[in-house]
Amino acid sequence: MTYESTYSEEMRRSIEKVEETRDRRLKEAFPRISPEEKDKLLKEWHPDYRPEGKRPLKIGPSKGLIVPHEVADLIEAYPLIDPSNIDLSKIDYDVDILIIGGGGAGASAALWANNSGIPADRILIATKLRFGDANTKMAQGGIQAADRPNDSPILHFIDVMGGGHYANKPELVKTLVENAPFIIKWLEDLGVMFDKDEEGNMIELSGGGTCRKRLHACKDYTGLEIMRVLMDEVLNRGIRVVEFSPAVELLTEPDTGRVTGAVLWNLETKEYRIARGKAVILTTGGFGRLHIQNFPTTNHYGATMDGVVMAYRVGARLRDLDATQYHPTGAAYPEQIVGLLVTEKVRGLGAQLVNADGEQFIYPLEPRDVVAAAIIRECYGRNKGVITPTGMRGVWLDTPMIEMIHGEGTIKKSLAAIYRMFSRFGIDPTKEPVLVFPTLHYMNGGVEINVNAQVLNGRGEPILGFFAAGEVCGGVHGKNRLMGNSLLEVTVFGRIAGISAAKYVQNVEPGKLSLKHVNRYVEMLKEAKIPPTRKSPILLPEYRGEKVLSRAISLFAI
Amino acid sequence: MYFPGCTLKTTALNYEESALAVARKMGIDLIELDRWNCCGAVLNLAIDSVIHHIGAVRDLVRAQEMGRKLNDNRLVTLCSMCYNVLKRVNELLKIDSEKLKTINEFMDEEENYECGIEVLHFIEVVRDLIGFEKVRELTVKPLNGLKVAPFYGCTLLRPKEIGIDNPENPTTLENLLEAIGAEAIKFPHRIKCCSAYNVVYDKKIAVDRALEIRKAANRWGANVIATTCPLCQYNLTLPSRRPSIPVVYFTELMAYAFGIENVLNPEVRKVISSLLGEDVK
Amino acid sequence: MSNEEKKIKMVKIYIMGKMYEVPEGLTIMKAMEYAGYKFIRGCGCRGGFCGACATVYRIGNDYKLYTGLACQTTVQEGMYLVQIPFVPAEKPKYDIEKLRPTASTVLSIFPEITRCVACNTCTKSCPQNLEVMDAIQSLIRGNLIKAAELSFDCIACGICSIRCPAEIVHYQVFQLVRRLYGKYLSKKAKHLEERINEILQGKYKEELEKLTKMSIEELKKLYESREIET
Repeated sequence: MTYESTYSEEMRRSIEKVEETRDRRLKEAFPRISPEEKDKLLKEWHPDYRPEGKRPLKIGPSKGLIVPHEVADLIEAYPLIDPSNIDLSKIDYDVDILIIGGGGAGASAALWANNSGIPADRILIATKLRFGDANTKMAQGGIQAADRPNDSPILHFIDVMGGGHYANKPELVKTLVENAPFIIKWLEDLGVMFDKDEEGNMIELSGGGTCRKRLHACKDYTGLEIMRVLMDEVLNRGIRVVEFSPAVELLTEPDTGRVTGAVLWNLETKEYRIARGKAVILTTGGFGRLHIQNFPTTNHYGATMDGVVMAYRVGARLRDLDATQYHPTGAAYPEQIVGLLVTEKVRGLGAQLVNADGEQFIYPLEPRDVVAAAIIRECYGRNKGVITPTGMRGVWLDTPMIEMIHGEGTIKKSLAAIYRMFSRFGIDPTKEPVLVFPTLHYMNGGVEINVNAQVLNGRGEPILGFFAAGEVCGGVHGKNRLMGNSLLEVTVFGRIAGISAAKYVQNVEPGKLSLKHVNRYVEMLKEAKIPPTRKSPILLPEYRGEKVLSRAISLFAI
Repeated sequence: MYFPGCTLKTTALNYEESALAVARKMGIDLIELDRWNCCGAVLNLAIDSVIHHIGAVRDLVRAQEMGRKLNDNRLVTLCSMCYNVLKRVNELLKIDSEKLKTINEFMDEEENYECGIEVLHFIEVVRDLIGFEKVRELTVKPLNGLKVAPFYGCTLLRPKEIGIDNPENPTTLENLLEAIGAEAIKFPHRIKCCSAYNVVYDKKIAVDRALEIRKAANRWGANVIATTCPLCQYNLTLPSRRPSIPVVYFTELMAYAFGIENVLNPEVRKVISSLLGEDVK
Repeated sequence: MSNEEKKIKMVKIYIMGKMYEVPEGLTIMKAMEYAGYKFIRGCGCRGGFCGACATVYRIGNDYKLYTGLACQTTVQEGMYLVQIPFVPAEKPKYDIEKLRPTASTVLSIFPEITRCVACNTCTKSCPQNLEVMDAIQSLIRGNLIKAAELSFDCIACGICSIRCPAEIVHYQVFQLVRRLYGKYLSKKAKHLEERINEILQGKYKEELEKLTKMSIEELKKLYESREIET
């Protein structure tokens, strides 16, 4: 069967130029960017550096912190519930450890709380959608750990700090890198199928901004493989998971400010339930579905920053929320998959980024923010991008190069997910390059924690009973996360949160429950003259057609 | 082409190894089917339930595809159960064109099966293609002194339409044993059923039947039983009262006789060695 | 983009039998949202990885049944569809530490596997185009490694299990097989153990402590002088 391209004619003409330059480019190494040029590039072209896109927060422990408008809109917003309608005397779930969020961090926390001696039936994971519906599942390329002889946690540390523009919290980075090899071993022992050679050595690749090959992968389904193994183990142990029950507000002890539980809301029955936990671990993930600056996103359906909103209301300090990560290579064509992730592993295996004329314009494995800015500059500054029939702009990611470098069949084997995603729409990445453009990917900042995964308040002190791990936290990655450190963060800090929380609950009684902090927050909002029209958390993004929404009405009160 | 069947790949690996080695010695190339699935064993012969034939037919289709490339339409099996199923499904479809049409339409992801495959049991190949004369020639260590009770296994002989020999008075195994220098003990239970899958539903039946067969072999003077089917091998050696008597595959005896006993499972090799009165190496 | 009103071509699709006109070129998921459905079930990652949006459909009067992921399948004129957001199957609990990596282990937990009649319906239903039946068959004959490899890209959407005449829950079986492979059958990475020992013995402790206290200038120097492994 002959392959028929589904690209438009204009795009095909550009591809021909790409094919012409390919042989020459195979031997060509594009020079790495100098620190000065890097600063200029980011300032001029990275979406984060557009001051019009952000504003300072008006209220709360991190008043004055610059954040994107979409984030501020949710933080400067009123609660969904009216505390006077919530009966806190009837407790529906009474546990030692309440985990809010069922992704990689939540599952890791649950397992390690159990490993630390908390019985399975005293742990509860409350999740908004299904258990495992999280950004963890969609991570493709790999998880970092410095476990080869020519590598070390020292180098890993330096990579993370440099990639994060030195804005990272150093002790968190130290925790991340020195726990990394242990986490890999833990996952290996759980049965995760890492790519290995015949002797059992891990096959490790380079990622953007890494000075050594230390990305461990499971083909290009790394996140899926890790998440499903963790899920399997959590369920094997009988740890309870309640699905389709997002938390809409945390509960606190009025005098101490200790976090003591959460109000859960059943998405299907609209019933609210009170969950009390001696310790509460927040693992709610990121904010891709807020579509910062109108970018499409790689994130899952529920990534609406609920955790940051709720944590801020109990006094958590936020940091680095001005740093939004745009993954440089989101799919840009066809229209049906715009924004979906094309893993960095593709570049790790040798594919180059090429403009409409078939020329390279940036070293493919610079840190993500640099590559993203470079692509935006190429498309909108230098106008050397490809334009699709729907007006979307992008550059080529020259995937056929991978087959030439590593042999025929490499893409089908090691990049099965990408191959599948494009094949479904008639594009064969082994034969033709794919079109990419930056897409909203990761929340670099978030709730601030210490090395014990305790959430810190505005004064830098731990909030009693409150822990957090994963994308919801800030400080680990500074202003820009490296590939493979997110899967690492959720497991390292998920584990630490589980262990810390388990230790904490040994010596405490269940706390008192109140929504007083919500009342106080509402007062602050009123004082700052925030209009009551905005409410948060939003739980799910609104994608219904405008035509329908304009005629949709609610006929019943509940 | 060679169809292994599930048991040959798990609990009867020794049967496969000895057979492949013996085949090579006789100049036969047994090439395993690229993709194959369980033939379904006896359950696939429920004639009113077409879906149960699907597994076996899919294997025949695979053989049809591979057979085109190799220019050979013969599918050989070692397991008598698999032989029985594949051959009977094949014959059924040759005469029931309605059923063939239904199955071909259901299996729309495969090419149509055209009933051109010939299903053979390995022992037929030895007997008809190679011939016992050749077997005699290749025998370097005649198994003198070995008194072998051949146990055919009912699925190799029945039903009559697909049996490889006279179901009441077969001679194939006896002739083979003679060709490799052993003494064939023609005991009456040689054509009986080992009780097959009764071992799953009512183990006592299998244990009792196996004991009966072993007692008979013993009474008739045999010191080893040779079989053609892994299920028979399993049933006949179910732990129970004495007498116990070793049960080996006919290909394992052939391998020993051909002087390639190094391919044999060490246990089996020891058993045959000591029965022959040889020093165990 | 031009300012003229664009005439968008519409197609008729039938969501659970009810006709809606939606713009051509949308995925089933976006088409359902266009029609006014707000997903609670049946929507997960929206990117083809989580199996939440498994959809079964026919086209017009054709008898053929198709499956696909709503987030990855474009609507067609005459598409008659329904989502299958959940497949009933409680997960059996097992202690992976106590299991042996053999086919009989898997069969003892999921004995219904032997009911497989090799009808291949599972393979034909898989939206990931996996050779599901071959994976089950590999398992039946003891080849766990092949079963793990063939089933690796499984996203546990469950369509195979809903359609299986033998009532096998393939994705649960495969999850166990893959864990057994990853834990017991795949060789352990020695270099990993060595590095962990080094860390436990404190080899990097001092230097890491030093690094956490360094100024940004010092860190910059280290960062910019790194040797990059190619």
